[in-house]
Amino acid sequence: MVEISRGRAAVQMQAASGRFVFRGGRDAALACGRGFGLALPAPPLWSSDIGDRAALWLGPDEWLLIANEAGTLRVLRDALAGMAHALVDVSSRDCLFDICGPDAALLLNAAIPLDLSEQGFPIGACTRTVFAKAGATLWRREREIFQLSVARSHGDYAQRLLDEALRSMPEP
Amino acid sequence: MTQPFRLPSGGRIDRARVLRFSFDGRAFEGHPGDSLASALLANGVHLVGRSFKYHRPRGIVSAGSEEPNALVTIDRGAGRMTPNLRATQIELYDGLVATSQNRWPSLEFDIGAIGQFASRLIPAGFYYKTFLWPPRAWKHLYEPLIRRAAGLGKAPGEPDPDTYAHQFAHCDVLVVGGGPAGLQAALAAAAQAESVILCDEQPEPGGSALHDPARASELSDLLAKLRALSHVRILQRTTAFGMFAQNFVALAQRLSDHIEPSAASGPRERLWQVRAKRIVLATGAIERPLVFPGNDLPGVMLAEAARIYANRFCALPGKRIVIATSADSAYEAAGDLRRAGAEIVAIVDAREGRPIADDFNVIAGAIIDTKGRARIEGCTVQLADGSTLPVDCDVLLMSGGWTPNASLLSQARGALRFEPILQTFVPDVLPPGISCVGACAGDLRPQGDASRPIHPKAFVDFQNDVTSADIALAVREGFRSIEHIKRYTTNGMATDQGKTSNLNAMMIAAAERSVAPQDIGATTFRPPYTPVTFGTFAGASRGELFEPVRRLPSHQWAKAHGGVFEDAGQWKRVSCFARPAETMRDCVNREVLTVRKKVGVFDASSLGKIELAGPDAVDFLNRIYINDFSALAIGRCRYALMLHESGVVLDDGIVARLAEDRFHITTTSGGIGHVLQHMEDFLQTEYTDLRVWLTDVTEQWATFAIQGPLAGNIVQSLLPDAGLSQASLPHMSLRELVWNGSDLRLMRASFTGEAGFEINVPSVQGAALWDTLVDAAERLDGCAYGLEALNVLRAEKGYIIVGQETDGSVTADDLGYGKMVGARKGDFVGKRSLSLPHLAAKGRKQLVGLLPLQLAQTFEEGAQITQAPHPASGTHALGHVTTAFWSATLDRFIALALLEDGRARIGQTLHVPMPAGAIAVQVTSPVFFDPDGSRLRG
Repeated sequence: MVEISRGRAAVQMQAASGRFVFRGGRDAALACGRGFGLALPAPPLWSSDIGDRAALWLGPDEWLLIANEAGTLRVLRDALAGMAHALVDVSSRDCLFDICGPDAALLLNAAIPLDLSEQGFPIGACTRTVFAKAGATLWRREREIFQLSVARSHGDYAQRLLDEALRSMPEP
Repeated sequence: MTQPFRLPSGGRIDRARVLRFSFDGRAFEGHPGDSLASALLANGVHLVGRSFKYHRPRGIVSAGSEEPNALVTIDRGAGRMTPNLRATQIELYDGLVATSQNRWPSLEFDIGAIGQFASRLIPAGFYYKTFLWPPRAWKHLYEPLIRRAAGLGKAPGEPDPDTYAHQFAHCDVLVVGGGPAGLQAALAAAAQAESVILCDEQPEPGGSALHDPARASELSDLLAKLRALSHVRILQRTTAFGMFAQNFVALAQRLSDHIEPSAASGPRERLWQVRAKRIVLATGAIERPLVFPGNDLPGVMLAEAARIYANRFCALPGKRIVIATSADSAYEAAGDLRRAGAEIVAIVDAREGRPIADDFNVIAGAIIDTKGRARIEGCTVQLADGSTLPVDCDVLLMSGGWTPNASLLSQARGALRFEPILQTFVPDVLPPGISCVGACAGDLRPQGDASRPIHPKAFVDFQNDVTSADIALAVREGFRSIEHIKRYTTNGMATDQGKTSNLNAMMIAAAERSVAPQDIGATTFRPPYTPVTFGTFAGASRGELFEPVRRLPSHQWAKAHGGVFEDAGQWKRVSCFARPAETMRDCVNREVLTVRKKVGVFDASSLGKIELAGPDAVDFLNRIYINDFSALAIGRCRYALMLHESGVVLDDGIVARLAEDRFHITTTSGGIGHVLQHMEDFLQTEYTDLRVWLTDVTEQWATFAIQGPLAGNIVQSLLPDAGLSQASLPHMSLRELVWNGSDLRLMRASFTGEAGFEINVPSVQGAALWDTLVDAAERLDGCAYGLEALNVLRAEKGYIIVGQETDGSVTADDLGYGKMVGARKGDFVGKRSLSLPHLAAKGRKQLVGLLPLQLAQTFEEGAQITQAPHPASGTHALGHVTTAFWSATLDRFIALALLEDGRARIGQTLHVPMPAGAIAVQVTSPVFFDPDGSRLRG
């Protein structure tokens, strides 16, 4: 894990983790949640999580599932047997960054146009957005921890930009 | 004696510290708290520049961002020279270096000033009228000459060493303007709102209260209350310069230009992009100059500006002052200036029913002339009875009343109305979520209009040198709309956007047209409110961060092994892997021949990849592609073409069936974005009955091609237990395997015409597999090959590249792929268009090969194809060259082309006109090598 920090914000680059895209209808989503041991959240742009396992709502029929246990994919496939759905392993697809600290939102707002205040983007909120010129997924795991993910080949760009943003942050 | 016009006490400057600065090479002193303008005035300097068109000597007119005249260049070192800065907004620091603009050889003696004697020859519209002929001369002769003569400062030649930052912010209330009204509004908003941003262009908040000692305690009280609130962000030196849709406001914050260069750190400027639920405009009002002959002489200033210089900066503009006015506020300026030690020689009031003040020498009348060349020395007053009176002075102040500063409101499409009591335009209809407070809302005392009568050489727009006579001329020449008069005279089109000139221009135009001011209307303001640096807009997007650079898994290896990189969209791809002393052409030839004779490996990871799943997947594919997938067995692949609804080719790729209901699809490298969108669009709008879902797995998989007669050996050594053979894994089939503990998708497919494979592994394993493959290839005398070799290899086989052989007008049949259209399947995207007459008509451009009759002759991609070697001018081309390469395999030059009725012309001799003469070519089949495809089967 690489960490760069300045003042009240820090950027930690995370190792690849188990990530799966699940897409399907309501019944399949229920079955998937049962197999995953965590109900898939129904409210848009919302997440649910237990321990290091999480499900992020990314579209009306699309969730990103996060789990590091080996065999997760097989368990899910079994739970979904016979149901119309898509389940795709994307564990290698993204570069992950944890953005932490009291000024984490201020730092992210250097390149993300969304309202990241606690009212605008509460703990548990998640969305697809842009990080400057790269597509990104953002998830507020805790009050002061956001997880930012970009496509692997955009990782270097995102890291340099975060570095630059850390150096030029406004006063809180 | 330094600073002879500096007052001994008071104000907001720090006399304990002395700052040295230079202007045009002369050394001066000032104090912290000074602007460049106030420090120059304290030293008795009024002449600060030459005007744009006539090179007339010009002085400081205002004390704020509305300044039209005092534009200077600030030099902060290499790459840090900024022209056209307003001296009234430049904060003084120790060692500041300023120079005047638009003069040669010096400010006092300027050759260009002879232009003013020819001013009767340069009326409004002069450029439009004079430089029309000959047409080419404008670009090459007139414009450069006029630009050089016009000056306006020079841009620095060196790269900008500073950094710039961007910041997005959301707030409940954004208050623009930190004067008393803005501070009050922010405080009131803070009581209700969760978050408030107050931005103010000045170095310290306070606005007009900063030069009104009576309001000092009120100001400090307001500020103390505001600063105690953690949900109020106060941004100083921050200009709201652009208002956009839905209360989106752009702010430019200047972070370090007020600090001496050696002490400055961090970004120079920050662009704030603020989305506010409500916006309060507290942008104040701008004083209006009077329009009289010689009103542009140095020493002629706005009355309130003189008051600001005296009260806030303790710099007395002059000692013998005449004030010309049509508003009451000038009397306050007169009182303050007299208290500061100046003699108020006279107040000339243009309004009827004046004078009112018995303690001043008030004259009812108007200024009709001035005296002095580079500084005002006196003026002539015309009295109500028509008689004239000469008056001496060293400063002439003017106050034509106040105009609400409605630039931002105008940008936000708010409407203004003419207010007769104020003789100016005030906010009328406000856009939703935007309100105005204070002087900006029209909260002003009654005032008169003194823009007439029309005098020649009475300046309206100081920065663009527009006179009242120019506006009268425009009206005489038939211009009616104020917007057209603006464009014809250029009034209000300089960098100050006519903050001090627009109202006078409108009033003069209204009088000349004999219409009421409300009927002529106000011109529209546009962003930016004041000039903004390019750096502010660019932010971090420069150099390496200008555009994301996407690197392939093999990037590090390529860098270490002679990889010559080229940009393909955001991807860095490798043209070829050059060995020491190898030319690019030799390198490409070697790579091509190695693939044909041995084996080559290629990083194709940028290929778009989609995983498609769901019980209706086959149905969906049949509707999206032209091919029929009903019979595609599990484990088999198919080359597939996708059409736009208009019937033209949109993209191509390989569709591989992983399971009954799962497919692995590839797209072109540049196509993944719009292909995925195209598919999702149809799923969400047209094919809502289909239970099928798409996932972008472009970056999940690293993809490497292994091509050549020995490709099988490499795959065999990599996956010894897979039991691969031609029979178990025939051409165009796929197997899911495991390598190094990871999933692996092995496809037998070829884009080179050689037997070959494409291997996909999770991209975290990409670099490791690449190293393994290159190592294995090199042991077989194979090599890594780049994009150039791939292009030659595929061109030799006549394989197309979407975007190169297609251009948005090409159908599958044009490419010779007409038979791919599934005849027995139902509807698919683009099918209906295929029956359009023009897509089936004779004369379609079809894909063919071209071979120059002389082997050594070459031509370029994009070259035209003609029947005759030297066709008459106006003859239409028969087609164009889409791909042209030296083929190492065939040892000759080959090309692909789109040619009218191309397939029927095979065997004909045509011509490719090139600058050095036409090249005769023979039309051939597009497949130059191994036409029966025997090599594909190994």
